[in-house]
Amino acid sequence: MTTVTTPAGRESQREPAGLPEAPVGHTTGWWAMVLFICTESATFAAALASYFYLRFIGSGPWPPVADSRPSLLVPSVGTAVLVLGCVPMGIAVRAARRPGRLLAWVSLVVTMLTGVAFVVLQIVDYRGEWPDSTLSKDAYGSLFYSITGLHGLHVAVGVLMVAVLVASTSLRRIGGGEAGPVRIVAMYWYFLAVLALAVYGTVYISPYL
Amino acid sequence: MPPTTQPTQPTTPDARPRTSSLRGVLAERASAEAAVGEKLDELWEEEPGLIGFITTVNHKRIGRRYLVTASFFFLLAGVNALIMRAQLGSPDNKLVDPELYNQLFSLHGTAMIFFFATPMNSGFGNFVVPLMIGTRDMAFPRLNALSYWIFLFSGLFMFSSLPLGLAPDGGWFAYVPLTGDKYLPGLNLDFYTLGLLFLAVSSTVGAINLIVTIIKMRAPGMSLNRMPLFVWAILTQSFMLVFALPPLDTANAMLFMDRRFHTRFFVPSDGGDAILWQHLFWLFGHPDVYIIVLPAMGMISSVIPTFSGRPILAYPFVVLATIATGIISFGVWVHHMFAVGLSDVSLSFFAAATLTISLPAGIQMFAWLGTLWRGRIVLSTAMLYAVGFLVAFTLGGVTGVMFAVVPFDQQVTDSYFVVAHFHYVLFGGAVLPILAGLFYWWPKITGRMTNARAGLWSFGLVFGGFNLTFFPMHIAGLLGMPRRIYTYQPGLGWTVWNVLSTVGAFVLAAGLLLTLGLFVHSLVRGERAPDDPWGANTLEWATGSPPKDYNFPVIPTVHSGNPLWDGRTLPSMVEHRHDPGRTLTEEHKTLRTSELDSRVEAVMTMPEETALPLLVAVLLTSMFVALLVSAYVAAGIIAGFMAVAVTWWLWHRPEVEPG
Repeated sequence: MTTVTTPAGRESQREPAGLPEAPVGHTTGWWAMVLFICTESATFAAALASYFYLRFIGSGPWPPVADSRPSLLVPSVGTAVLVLGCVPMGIAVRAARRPGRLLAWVSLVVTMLTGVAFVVLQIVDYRGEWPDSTLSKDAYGSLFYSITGLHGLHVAVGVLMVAVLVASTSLRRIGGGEAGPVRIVAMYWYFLAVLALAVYGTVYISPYL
Repeated sequence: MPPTTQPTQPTTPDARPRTSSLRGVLAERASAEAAVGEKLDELWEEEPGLIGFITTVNHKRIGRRYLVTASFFFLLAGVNALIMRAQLGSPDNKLVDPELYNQLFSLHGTAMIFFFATPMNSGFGNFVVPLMIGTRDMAFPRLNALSYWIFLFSGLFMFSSLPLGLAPDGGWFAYVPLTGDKYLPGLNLDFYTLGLLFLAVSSTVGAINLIVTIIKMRAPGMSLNRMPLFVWAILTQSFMLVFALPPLDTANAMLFMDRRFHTRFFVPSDGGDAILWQHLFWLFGHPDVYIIVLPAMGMISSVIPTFSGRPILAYPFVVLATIATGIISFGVWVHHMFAVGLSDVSLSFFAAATLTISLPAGIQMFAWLGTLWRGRIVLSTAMLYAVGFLVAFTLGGVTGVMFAVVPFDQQVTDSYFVVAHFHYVLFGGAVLPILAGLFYWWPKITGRMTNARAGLWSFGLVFGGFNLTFFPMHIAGLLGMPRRIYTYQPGLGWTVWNVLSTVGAFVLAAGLLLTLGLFVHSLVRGERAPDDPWGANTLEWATGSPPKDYNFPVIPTVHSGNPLWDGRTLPSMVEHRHDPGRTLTEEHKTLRTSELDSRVEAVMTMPEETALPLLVAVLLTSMFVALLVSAYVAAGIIAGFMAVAVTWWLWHRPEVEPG
């Protein structure tokens, strides 16, 4: 046997199995979600940057004369609901680490409902805006619908993820100590809330500034 | 196994502080295989035949497929180029009409960048990285299969446009307003936008998979400061893909919507802006140059130390230069737009940034030169290509620095000088290293040696043909020949340079065909390769040639940055051969280690083979075809099916139900 001096080498001599008793550190799934969120952030950064680029490259008023400023009531409620949806999601993560499954199940269902409410409110908002500004009338309308629509689509995907978690919890595949998937989906859910604030600030608030 | 040294490649074992012979099976691996090989064989073996073909999740098979498929697209795009060179071989030539010529150069550029260079690097990444870091597969084997299938189908999608006469015809960077539906109606540009969005799915999941593999699955002891430079290059490149693809996707989605749904993103009369496309495209486009070149440089950093018989000089600086290149490359995109008419402040900033990015490239260049200087050089075919790269990339780099000078750039922009420059960078900087990498890892990939004499011819013809093709373009460009013209008149002084380029292109094609023949010959007739034919320093050479399905019978403890030369990493395979924590013979498993220090954290269960990735890729393909033919409802329904398939996939996690 060779003489080992490096930290890694010493360690492997002391514990031949080389394995910690319980798994530690972040899982590969956790890292994949972090990187997925990175690439999604870059997508939204490109979209929001395009919004401001097109706004400031032109010299006219924003929104253009033919459009009106977006109404604020419905999207404000929608964004608030989605952001507050982080609370039941957080509860679900904590609950999934404990033995019982009921609390995790209930909080996941509540989380899912906040997402559904957001998507419904977005459709309501579109119905209010549509005649005034449309996708193809001018660049303002194109940006308004494509950015909010892209975010709405992401929330719908998030709702689907949470729905799968609800089903897995019902079938006792997760929860009761097995919290990995809940943690990963929760990360995405928090990301959706941060995005909601960025989109809200850009598309709804910035035209008033 | 017969001993396999070749007459013109004398190996010099005395120069390499190693424990075992360069012939046959490494003694350490033989001992490890004897202990656990049989058990692992049963666990890791995949279905044979057609079922195995469509369900495989083995990173080596997927990596090989990436290499073969990308080479096939290289061939197709290369034929496009040969037709173009034949057309330009004489003035007023009528071989192809302007419409077809537009399609040829657009598809040539698009295919070479997106469907050859990037996926070729992914192929090497897929095959080599798990072996280099000492693990048994990628972090997400099923996702790996998915990214391959999507790459294949998106490439076929893109290339199917040419026989239909509908290939993209707006140049590879597809500037609006030309590419709007007003000026280029028809499906041509829809093939472009959809094809690239389609491929981006593959590149993104592939990049995430490689990053997670590299940070979570390195063998114990391979802390970040012992990670091979090729792995560093792939890691940096994958991070760049994660951040660079979104602007391109955003731009392509906007262009698609402008063309189909009459949104107004790029229509100035309605508040849009044509320059926005250029910003978004080049915000991807310049990092993409390094997405292609960095892994190629990583290959050079693998080849040069091996054939110099000494570790790379200034390892930390090369790592830092790699990362610095990756970061700075996001801040130089406007040098593609110097002639657009942006403000002087912006031009100065980006000119300075462009000058800066040549520094890390210089650092790497001097590290390679220093390694050669201090080493004992073995001129194998791979090494010849590596040295060819040093020359070609320096030339391409010098013209690159010239473009940082705004007035010069404005003078030569859109001329053949630019074409010459980026072919020196992309052919010299990427294709030559890829060939070096192919010759270097060929014995590992196929288990066969290549003929060294034929390799000399291959290098001579390819390198000579490459220079003869692209060097005259500098002069044609300085004489004012614009790029993308389908023909030119006699008496402009361009003819002779174009004739030289055309002759060079056919010499180059002959060299590449010879290389293909050489590889086929090696597959059929080549000598059997030993485990470590070159006396190399990195872990992939501690596996069989070709590697077993499980790569490593015993996951080694890595003791240095040159594990095969330190005399301790290889013996660790013998040492641990009865240690269940390293052999993992109970189930389909591998180790998960910590991000920085590579300490063991857990044992990961790996998924079995499955056809789900193929199913999802087929659904995605049909969705893009539906979008292409404006069947939006059908596309929506297919997206629903895809959601079900992906849910099914995630439901069956290997940790929950092994086997």
